[in-house]
Amino acid sequence: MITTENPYRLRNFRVVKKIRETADTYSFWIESDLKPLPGQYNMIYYFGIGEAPITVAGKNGNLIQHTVRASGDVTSHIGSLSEEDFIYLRGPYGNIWPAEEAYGKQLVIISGGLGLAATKWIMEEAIKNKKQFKGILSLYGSKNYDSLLYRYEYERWHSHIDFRITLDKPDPRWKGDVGLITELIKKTEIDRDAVVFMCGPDPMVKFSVIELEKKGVGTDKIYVSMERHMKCSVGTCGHCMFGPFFVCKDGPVFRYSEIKEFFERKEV
Amino acid sequence: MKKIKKTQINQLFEAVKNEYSVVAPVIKEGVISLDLITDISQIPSGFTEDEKGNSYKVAKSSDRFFSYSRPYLPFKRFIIPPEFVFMKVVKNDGRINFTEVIPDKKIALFDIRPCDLKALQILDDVFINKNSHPDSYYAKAREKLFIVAVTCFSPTENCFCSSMGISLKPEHGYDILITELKDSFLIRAGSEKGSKFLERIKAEEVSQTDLVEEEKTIKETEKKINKKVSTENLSQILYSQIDSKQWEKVGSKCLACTSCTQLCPTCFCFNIVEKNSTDGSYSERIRVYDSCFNPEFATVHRFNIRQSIASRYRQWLMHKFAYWTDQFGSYGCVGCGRCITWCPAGIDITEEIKKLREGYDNH
Amino acid sequence: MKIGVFKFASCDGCQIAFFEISKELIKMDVDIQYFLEAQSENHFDHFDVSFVEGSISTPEQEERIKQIREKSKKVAVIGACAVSGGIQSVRNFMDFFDVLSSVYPSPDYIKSLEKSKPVSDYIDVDYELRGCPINKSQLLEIISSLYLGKELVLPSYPLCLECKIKGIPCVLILGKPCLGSITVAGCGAICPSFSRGCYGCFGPIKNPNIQSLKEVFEDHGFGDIYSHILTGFNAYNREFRGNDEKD
Ligand SMILES: Cc1cc2nc3c(=O)[nH]c(=O)nc-3n(C[C@H](O)[C@H](O)[C@H](O)COP(=O)(O)OP(=O)(O)OC[C@H]3O[C@@H](n4cnc5c(N)ncnc54)[C@H](O)[C@@H]3O)c2cc1C
Ligand code: SF4
Ligand code: SF4
Ligand code: SF4
Ligand code: SF4
Ligand code: SF4
Ligand code: FES
Repeated sequence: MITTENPYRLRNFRVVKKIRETADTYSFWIESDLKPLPGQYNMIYYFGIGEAPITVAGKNGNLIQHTVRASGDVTSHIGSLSEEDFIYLRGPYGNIWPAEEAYGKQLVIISGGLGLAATKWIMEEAIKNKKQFKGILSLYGSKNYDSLLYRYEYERWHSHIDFRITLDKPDPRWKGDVGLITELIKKTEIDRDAVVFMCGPDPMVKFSVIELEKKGVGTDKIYVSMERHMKCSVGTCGHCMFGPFFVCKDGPVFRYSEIKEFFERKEV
Repeated sequence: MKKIKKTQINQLFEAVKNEYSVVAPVIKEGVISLDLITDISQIPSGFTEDEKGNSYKVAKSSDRFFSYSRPYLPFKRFIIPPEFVFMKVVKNDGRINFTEVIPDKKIALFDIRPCDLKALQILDDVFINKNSHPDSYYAKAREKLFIVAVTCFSPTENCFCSSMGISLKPEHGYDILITELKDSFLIRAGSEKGSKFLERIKAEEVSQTDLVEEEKTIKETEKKINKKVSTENLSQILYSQIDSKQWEKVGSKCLACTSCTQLCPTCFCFNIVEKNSTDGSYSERIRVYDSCFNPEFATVHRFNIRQSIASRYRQWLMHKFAYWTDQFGSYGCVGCGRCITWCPAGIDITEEIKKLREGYDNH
Repeated sequence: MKIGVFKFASCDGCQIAFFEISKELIKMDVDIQYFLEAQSENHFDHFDVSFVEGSISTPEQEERIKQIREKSKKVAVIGACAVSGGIQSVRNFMDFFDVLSSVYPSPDYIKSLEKSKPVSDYIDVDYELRGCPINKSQLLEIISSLYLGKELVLPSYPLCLECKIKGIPCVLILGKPCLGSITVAGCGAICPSFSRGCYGCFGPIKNPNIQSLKEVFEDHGFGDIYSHILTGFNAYNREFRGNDEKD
């Protein structure tokens, strides 16, 4: 007799805090007994609309954070939830950022756009264990000033680690770096034996890897969190398939050297 | 192991039917298909498929009972249906209640051939055995299955199961196995459930001559299977051919119609869709078969990663013969040949593999 | 929700779907403001969604469709005529005056545009319902999606997937011309389920592989594929028209 819990079982949790990050992006702090780890994601359901995979952006005691950009049908509906509402989800799913790989070395975190939601928690954890690393460098590229996430945290992050931001486009309100994140990588000092955690759109990842390789960082030291179409999140619907990998269960975090041959090919 | 007279097959069938809804090959819409049956006479005895390239005909033929080959439709449809509600959701006063739908039918697969039996084991790996979140729906349906396998003596021209390592007489995975001899059926039980059924049937002892006849018929049948895929180092060779020009060539022919994936007994992909009542109080979560040939299959931010048909064909072939080996430790193909017979564009996957292999050899 | 139903060059067949879903419409508090076929009192004022049947075939229609666009938050074109130009667009591939004089004894009295064109050639369109006639459950899906505030999701995959999900044996393999592999799904695979080939009333998928299917048709001796497509309802669809259009 096979007894298995239904993998599609959804549980409800209460939204205790909603933060407007940008015009279309919200963070939700949810009261839950789930035990996710940095790098993992949940499938969030909205009644009658469907599910979307959403990274766990942070955890604080029994509160977990999700940051959602209202970009389509499911995410817009999730974005419309208010404090005290129930959120329905299943998870956590997927693998985690291998932080211990970077112990004793420089940890470099590279995030593009909403990718910061996927790297923020591991960055927070790294800050807590700062002594374990030779140094922590975090580079964050944002399309423009208005889409900057987690502005209320920058000051704290700056005080702990080397946290740098670059905007694709200049803005009168912005005094910092301007240019693509690859430019920022170029002009930043990165150890040859650094360990890199990266999340962002596929093209950003591709070009950042090229810059990192120029600095002598091995592709086996670069970890990437990938995004693919997901329906089941448990390796059976086939949508997230990427070469021999299921991004939903073998990832979303991959060692770049292991996916390189597929990542750098079109239409895999 | 026992032996029964040909006429006794009816007793076996009735015994199974008493406990299960029976799914078996039938003639339907002009082809040998698959459906629920209630009488053994619905089995298309005396008919045989004539499958050449992508043409299909059914004709009157030999007088064997199991005269035909594996049916047009794959058995997976009776475990994970093509479209079914897996969760019912009711909204009431802002609260949402979920009801999980669990399959309740006890189904017997009557006359499943070795290729399709192996396909079932492959699906077991995908949905249960090699999955850390086993699919409870599949597991439940699977648990309620009763499997009557048949030693296959009727390959079509498109069958290539033997080169995929499948023997015409399966070793395991069945509750009952039937082998048709000239004047009798040999019956083996492969499980406790199966043994209990056999106890109820008055049977004769099996003689040495019977076994000789069985062995001989298997050997003769094997000789009739001419199509093959050379599996030596196949996955590595395919990985090396991922940039082959052959993909574009076959991509220009392929219609991306999805037929191959739908009829393939091991393809498992599905979509999840929501269906709502018009008053917004009730919603059904539905699983429906999908295909990597679907132009929206790998959509990320409204853009399908596999735009070209060539890349979708590559996904299908690479998945079956390369990716699958890394994912589940076997090929995702059992050589049933359905995708060859039913490809409107006349693409033959064994020929495609041959060409990719040649591309490798000529390098 | 205020809706309008409008008719241009068409046979009225698609509007019938509204009668077939009337029970559901009542439940959704839909206010039909304009629907000449169904009611005597009509208001041309403001619409949350307008449904347009028929192709644009005369200069007056060209004006009228622009007015409808101005008054409507959403415009849904329904049926092959509105989506692709309809069967009447067959004239687009011939000499206009030849056609005119072959049909009407005194062509001078006829005010007509040279071509019968899809609505989307004149205005922006929010939703497209394919088919000749449309599938009533897809029509209901538009209205209920709007009502529930949900995005409309209609299939973009070929009919073959729908046909195979239903378990219908492929009629093309069994020897009949079928346009299913280049036609968008949504009809319920009606024709193949009656052992007939799909004749493409739902119109083409995006990037159909017409060239390959053309060869398949020739190999089977079904004749030239364009004689199947171009005498149909969707001949003037963007995916097809480039091929044989005479300007
Ligand atoms: C591991 C992972 C973590 C993610 N984390 C976050 C996060 O923290 N915050 C956030 O805002 N977004 C995140 N995303 C992206 C988010 O899941 C998609 O934007 C979302 O699924 C789109 O669904 P939609 O219905 O809102 O959009 P639509 O554009 O309306 O959806 C289009 C269709 O694509 C399907 N789809 C499924 N998966 C994806 C996908 N990954 N990308 C695009 N479409 C998809 C949808 O279900 C739908 O059927 C993550 C994605 C992945 C894979
Ligand atoms: S593939 Fe093999 S087992 Fe299956 S029907 Fe053909 S010959 Fe029989
Ligand atoms: S790939 Fe083709 S031959 Fe192989 S199992 Fe699937 S349908 Fe049968
Ligand atoms: S071949 Fe395509 S449809 Fe079949 S299992 Fe693989 S990805 Fe899914
Ligand atoms: S059945 Fe043939 S034409 Fe259709 S998707 Fe498969 S390979 Fe392409
Ligand atoms: S019958 Fe037509 S629609 Fe169905 S699979 Fe064959 S070609 Fe496609
Ligand atoms: S999301 Fe279904 S297999 Fe990965």
